[in-house]
Amino acid sequence: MNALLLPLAVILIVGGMACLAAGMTRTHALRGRPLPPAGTLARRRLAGGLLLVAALLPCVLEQGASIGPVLWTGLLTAGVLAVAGGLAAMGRPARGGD
Amino acid sequence: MNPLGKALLGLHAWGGLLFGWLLVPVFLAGSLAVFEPEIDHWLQPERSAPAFSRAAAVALAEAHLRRTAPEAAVWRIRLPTPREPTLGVAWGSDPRQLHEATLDAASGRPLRERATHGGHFFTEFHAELLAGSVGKWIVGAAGIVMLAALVSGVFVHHRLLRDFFVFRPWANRRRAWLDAHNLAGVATLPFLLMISWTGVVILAETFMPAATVMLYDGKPRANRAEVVKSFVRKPAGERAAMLPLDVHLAAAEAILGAGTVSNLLVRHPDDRNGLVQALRHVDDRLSAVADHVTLDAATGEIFGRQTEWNPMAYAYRAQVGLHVVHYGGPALRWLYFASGLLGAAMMAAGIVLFNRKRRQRVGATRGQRWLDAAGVAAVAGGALACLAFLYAGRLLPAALDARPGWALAAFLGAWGVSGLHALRRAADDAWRRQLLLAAVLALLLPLLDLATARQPLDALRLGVDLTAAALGLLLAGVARRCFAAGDELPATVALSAEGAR
Repeated sequence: MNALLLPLAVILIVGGMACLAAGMTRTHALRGRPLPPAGTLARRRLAGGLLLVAALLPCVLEQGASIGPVLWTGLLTAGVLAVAGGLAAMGRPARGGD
Repeated sequence: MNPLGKALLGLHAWGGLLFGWLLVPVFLAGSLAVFEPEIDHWLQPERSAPAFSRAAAVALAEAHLRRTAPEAAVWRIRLPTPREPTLGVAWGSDPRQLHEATLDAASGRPLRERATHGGHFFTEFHAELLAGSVGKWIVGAAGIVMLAALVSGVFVHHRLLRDFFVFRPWANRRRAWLDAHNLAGVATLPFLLMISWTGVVILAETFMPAATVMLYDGKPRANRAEVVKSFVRKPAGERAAMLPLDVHLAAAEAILGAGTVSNLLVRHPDDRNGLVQALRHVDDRLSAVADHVTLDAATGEIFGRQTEWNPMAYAYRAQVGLHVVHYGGPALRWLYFASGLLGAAMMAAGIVLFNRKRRQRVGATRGQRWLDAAGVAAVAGGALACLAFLYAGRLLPAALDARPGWALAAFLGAWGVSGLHALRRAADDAWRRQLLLAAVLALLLPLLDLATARQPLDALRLGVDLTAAALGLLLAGVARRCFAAGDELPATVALSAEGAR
């Protein structure tokens, strides 16, 4: 059980960050893609926030109430970089975008 | 931009630049210091990493001390751990000035180690620039400016939330560098705020000693003694056989927790008033307070224990614990290591960005050349200096007199050469060449390890080797992609042009 907590936290955080990115107008503008409806963007951001909050639980279960939040904060950093790196790795947008 | 914004921008840009020259190497050394035991092990290839039993290791240490220093007033034993799989023994009359030796944790055989600063070199550089109190003042001041630069950065980059995930390596160079600077700064902002704040708190007493001096008659350790209880007594002068130390270890761990004792300190072994103090490690708690229990050496009865602490001690030591990351295991150590390097990369990107913008505005003036060279020396030179220290640790003859001093000379010498080289080259050329050299040295570090090893390859050394190789690849990528050849005039041409004007 314990061995799965850290991977679970990573998955939740990367998923949460990905949802947040997908809910931001800037992400779509940079990719040169049509903007989803405002409601869809808001739902994605809400889902992202919930996933990030949910990731706190496996962190606390794995490391305890004092160290778990520190681990969670560190994983947030990894999550931002993973999603930003992934978006950059998808390459230059077809036209414009910067 | 309003006047406040301009002031914040000036603070962020110039404060970040001037203190960034110092903070980049400090962050680099701090990141390496996270793995101090592993680097220590790598720098001493005589060290073995066998499977061990803690109880058997303590018995071996006791046997060694009985043979080597039966009359010593103090014995100290450092128990082996997976991160430090050797057995440390020390003896003498003053617990702060002991003769030390390292033993194989499985056989008790003394290991003939080379003299070295070890991995602690990076910790010392990170905390005090190898310069004692003066170094602490400088690092403390840099930490305060770092906090100011972080806060001003949040205000200056007013589109921070909007550009949260934005990184455009395909964009023009200035924008790509700004994205890299912003992304690394945003992603590591909680870490950077925490590490800068806790670093300043740890150093606070060094640069504000007035309260301690006034309240404790100028005795710097007196306030610590008020918090950390000491259980000692004078020797009786009567002989009484001490219980075996593995028995004391088991008794202490029954109180402190199984597998938690890190050190044993024996005062007056085989005296009727002899004492055995067992200190608990802090690897599993945020607040770095080391519980301890002291046992009567002859009877095993509890003489004193401290497992509860003053709430302020918990609060202060929690900040120490947050900074030094002894807690949390490998996951948090790697997060600290990566976050520290990202913080250094964020500042390096800021330095590059500042210099490029300024060079575009003022040209390659003499002042700009110095700014460029300082930036290259701080970032690439810092990396080269660290690598030179590691190479010196393995390549200097093991029996060389004043060996640690020569390793320090290699560290400082590499840094000096980096600065001179940067002064003589165009900025991007210097960046590219020095980063490529650092990349090659890092990539060759595993080969150096294999070529100069005295023991079979173990997980600790392999970890250092693979990390160095991975960082080498990263540096090579940055050197080739971010500082492409042929962009700038050589420095001598630029300076001649300036002279002609």
